[in-house]
Amino acid sequence: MMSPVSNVENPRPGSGEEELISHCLNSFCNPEQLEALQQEPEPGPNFDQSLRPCGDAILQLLLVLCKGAQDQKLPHNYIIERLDDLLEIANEKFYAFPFKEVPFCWRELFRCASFLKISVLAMESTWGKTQDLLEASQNCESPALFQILDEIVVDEVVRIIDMALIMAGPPTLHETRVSIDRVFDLLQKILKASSLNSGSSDASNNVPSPPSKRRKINVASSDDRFPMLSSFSPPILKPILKFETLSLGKFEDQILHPKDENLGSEPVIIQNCLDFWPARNERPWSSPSYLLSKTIGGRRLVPVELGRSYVDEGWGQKIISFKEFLDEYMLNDPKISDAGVGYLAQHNLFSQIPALRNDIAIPDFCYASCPPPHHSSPLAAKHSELPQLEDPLLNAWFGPAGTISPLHTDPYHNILAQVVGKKYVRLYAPRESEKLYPRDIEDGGVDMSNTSTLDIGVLAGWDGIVEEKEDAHEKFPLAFEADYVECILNEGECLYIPLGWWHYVRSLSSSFSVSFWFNGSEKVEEDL
Amino acid sequence: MAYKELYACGFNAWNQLNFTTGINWAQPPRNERVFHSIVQHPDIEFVYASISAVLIRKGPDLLIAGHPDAFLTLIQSRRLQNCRHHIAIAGNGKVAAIGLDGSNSIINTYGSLNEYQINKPQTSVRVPTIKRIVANRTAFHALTSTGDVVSWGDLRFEALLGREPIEEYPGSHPSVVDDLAALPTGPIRKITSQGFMTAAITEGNDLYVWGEQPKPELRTGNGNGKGKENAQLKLFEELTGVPSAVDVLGYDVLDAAIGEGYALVLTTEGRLFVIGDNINCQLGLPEITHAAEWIEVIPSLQRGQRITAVWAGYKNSFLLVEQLF
Repeated sequence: MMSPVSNVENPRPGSGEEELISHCLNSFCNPEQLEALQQEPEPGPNFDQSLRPCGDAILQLLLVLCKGAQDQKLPHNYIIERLDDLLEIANEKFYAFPFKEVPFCWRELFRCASFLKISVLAMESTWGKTQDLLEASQNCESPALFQILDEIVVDEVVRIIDMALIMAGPPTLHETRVSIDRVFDLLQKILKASSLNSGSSDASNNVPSPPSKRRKINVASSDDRFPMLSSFSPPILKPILKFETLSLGKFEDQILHPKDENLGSEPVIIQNCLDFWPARNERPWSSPSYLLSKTIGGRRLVPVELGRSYVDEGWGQKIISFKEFLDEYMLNDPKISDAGVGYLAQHNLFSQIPALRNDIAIPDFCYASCPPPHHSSPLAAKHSELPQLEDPLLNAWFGPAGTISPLHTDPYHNILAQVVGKKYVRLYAPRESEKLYPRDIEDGGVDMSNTSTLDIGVLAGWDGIVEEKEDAHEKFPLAFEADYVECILNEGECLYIPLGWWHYVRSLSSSFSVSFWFNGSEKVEEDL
Repeated sequence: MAYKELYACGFNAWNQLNFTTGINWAQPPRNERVFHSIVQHPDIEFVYASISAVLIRKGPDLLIAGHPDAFLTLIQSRRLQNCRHHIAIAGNGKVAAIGLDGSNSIINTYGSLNEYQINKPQTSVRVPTIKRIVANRTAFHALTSTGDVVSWGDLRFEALLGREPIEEYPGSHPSVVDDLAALPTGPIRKITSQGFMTAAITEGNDLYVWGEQPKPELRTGNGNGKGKENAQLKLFEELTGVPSAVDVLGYDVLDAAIGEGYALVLTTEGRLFVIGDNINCQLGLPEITHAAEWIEVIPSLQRGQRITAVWAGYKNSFLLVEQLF
């Protein structure tokens, strides 16, 4: 632990720590809600009931731990140990149900126990006297009594919160989301103060160095860009209609009144609609150091898909720090790295890290009235059952060259915005579905009917050996008759993918895209 | 009748290993790190454990320590006293039980305990006479009086069923685990199940297991370094969706208990071997958090005492110790 050197220009050592502890005590260690839950009769509607189905035993223990964080009369390690037990119990329930059916109370328990745990970790050095210290400090009696938070504890706090956000989902209460964002702001402040006090202004000081990694990437040097060399560039024989700009009215016209009624609305590319995004200008997502600065020095955790494509053998997922993801998968040459392909795919990064949400804007096209599922799609009935989205669903897609999303359809209209790098996209209309050999309900009852059996890379002769292509010819004869369109989606371009269209997406360089799913239908107009 | 003692160790957040005093939250209970005697009586057995409580039988009485949930309270109630081995609740809240009329050749499966209490089964299936039903996270198993094992449950974890669901015998319907029929050492005499794993003991004292390895993610969510190093540890190499014999250092198996990510085995010589998770000291090994291979545990018994049965609760473990001379 480095010892702080007092410096007039720097904030008082420990002031960030004091703010963090005070914030945690106020936001996450308030037993009032839990106490009310255990009262009979049931408390009024002002009280959040969502934890109640966890049962009295769990609520009682949680209350004891919450009070313990406040009055600090129980041993610190006892509280941590029991919070871990509660996290395990909730976590076991996550695996007892299909993801969407996990009872809400277990997610809420996981979040509550996680937020309580980071509070208790932050108070470890002042355990038993935290409240007195806060009081003394407020009365200006004795400032600077709060110990500098060890970087290992900062890592741990970030990890615990992110596991909660990823495993249990973001808190449902706006208030809690704001409280969590505040924790990250304070951690950033604490790290900044500690690097100032250590006399170093090197930004990489804020970056944890993962143990035993092959090489350390010096973000400050080099040209602060992701590798942009594209390994190969497929020829585009059946290009998609392109517009330099397109008004919302003209876009609606395009998709509501297709040229060919039997085909339905067609994909289009709009070239210049991301020009004003901060992510492509002053807050560049093409810059590793910028992204690290938005992720507490790369400490924030992200879910990463491992393997070339989700239908491949050996495909898996893991949760790692953003820094690790950059080091292992984005900045390493995959040919020398033994880490394989890692893809931060279909993750709502923006609800987890709201700071990045400010770097982009929802394209107007997502608010267009759009046609219902096209009758030629075998999934039309299924897709029309989906409720109308109030706001578009955002997902981040961030990975090196060579990531593949196999041929599939989504239940929404999609604007795919290419922020960094380029991608090859091939699209088949819904009416081609039969020629694309959709999968079935697979082992374990997972419905894979939105994913094709075809490997477009093999069909096109880009991947695999000649025999495999010949084999595909024999097994999937219709596939070679299916009509498609294709494009290379360049940095700054948006691709509209109509609902029900099959698409195969392959990154040709390091790539960061954002997808916006929407399904505002014509009905909205009729209602008016 | 011989003098008996129940020994226990492991998870004790609700004081569920203490049958003499209730919980004092001002001095909350810690986990019990080694096996020690918790109840003494000529006629005792472990019956059931929930996350927060333990139910035992002491003579004619069913006693609870800890904070019981609705299911444990139901088993304790008189109505179920004679058929408490004929009902089980899975980690996903589903309940399986024999017919309410006491007919043990019907298995009813309910969506929840509430549905059980109003007798609204989701499925009702005729089966050979049932001796015992056990549950784990998402699957049920029943042992028939002829030594067959029947399995059913959530298809997402197909390996937990120990058989391949086919159209005729879907995973959701109680159907026989064929691989356990006609084993070299005879029919099955006991089944035990928890977490993602089930085990069966044959008449000839062989142990078979099937299921899935504990989810690696189960550990990563739990910080403070505790248990993190165990993330990728397998419980048994042999653990797959196909029931396979497990070699316990060459010993014959008298009794076994499967817990949440751990297992206890009692050999015919009365020796106790354990494997798996020990984060809550459920194996009775105070120095480690995980046993990657079989480790013998030697509880401090009195002269002339011998272990005669083992059970696993929720991250706690129980031994029946008998005075032989």
